Amino acid sequence: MSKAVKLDDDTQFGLPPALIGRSDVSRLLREIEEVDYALETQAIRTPDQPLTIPAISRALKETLTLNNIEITNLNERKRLIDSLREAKETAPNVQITFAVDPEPAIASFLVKWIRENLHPRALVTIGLQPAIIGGCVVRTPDHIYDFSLRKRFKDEEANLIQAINAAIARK
Amino acid sequence: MNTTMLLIIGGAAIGVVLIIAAVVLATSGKGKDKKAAPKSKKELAESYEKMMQDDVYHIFSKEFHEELRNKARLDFQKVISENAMFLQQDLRLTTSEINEYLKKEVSGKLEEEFAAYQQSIKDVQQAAVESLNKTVAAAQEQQLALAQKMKQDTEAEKAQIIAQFEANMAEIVSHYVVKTVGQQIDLKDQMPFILREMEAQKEPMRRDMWL
Repeated sequence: MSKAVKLDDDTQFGLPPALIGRSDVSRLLREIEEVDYALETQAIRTPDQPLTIPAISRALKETLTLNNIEITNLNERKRLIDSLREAKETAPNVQITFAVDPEPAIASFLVKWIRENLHPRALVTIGLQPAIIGGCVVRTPDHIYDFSLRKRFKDEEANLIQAINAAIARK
Repeated sequence: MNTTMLLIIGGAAIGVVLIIAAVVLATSGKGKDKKAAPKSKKELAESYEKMMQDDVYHIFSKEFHEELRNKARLDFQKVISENAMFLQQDLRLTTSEINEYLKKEVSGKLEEEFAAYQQSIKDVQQAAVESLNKTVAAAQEQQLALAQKMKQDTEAEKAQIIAQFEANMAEIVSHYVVKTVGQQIDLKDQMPFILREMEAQKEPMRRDMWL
């Protein structure tokens, strides 16, 4: 049974393409918790002064922008933290295995496609397996989808044997 | 051969007897000429007749004796020569007969031996030919069997190799592609293919994600 949780469109939390896997979510969660702690401390120490936002990562910025969250707002921060925790624990994981290590742009592109077409909060784990030659192998919670060249060769094996036999017969 | 030898020996014996007789005749007349006395014709005739009866050799002089000896010697030589001639003729005849006989015998023997030799050669040749034929037939059978065995083995090995090749076709092609292109396949170039495949499987994947 997948841990994926279907949320209503209104309350659905989105993950930016920069957040690829569960480790990225964990890192972002730690960062937002630190920011929350820093802003809360500021609010307690200097309640009359406006809050100074500490330096944040690009992933956090994209997350805030995507989900339209005001970081100075305590409630929205708490909602972001809760959403990230939930995503970390319940978001479905997709493992994509390539023959070579993909560039970050390609990985982000694929993550974006998956979240747009399959699940908005899907987390992706990138794997490496040179034996597949090319293409990729996608492992969803319950299935394995083999889009590799090795699979293509295997599927075309009968045709290849037929072609070889025909070539031998011609000789 | 024996007849000839007997003739030679007989001739030689006759010659010896004649010589001895001539010598005895020559010596027996000595010392009897001393009684020469004048006698009448009648007495002389009687005396001569008596002498002739007693000793025939007193009527011949020494010259006549010598002449007789010579004549006898010549006759003897003639006899000897004739005998020798006969002997020679006999010898030649015998030799020629012996030669003919030997030639005939030796030729016959040789022909027999040659015939036997040829027969034995023929037998040996026949046996060798039969043996060779058997050997050739056996070699041909063995060659045929070996060729069939080799053909079967080759066919079996070929079938095994083909089966193994077909069974591992994907791995072989994959290995070949990996070895030839390796890391040179750009992931960016593969994206259309990956997206096309994922698009094709989008619905099942989506259902799987929302379980």
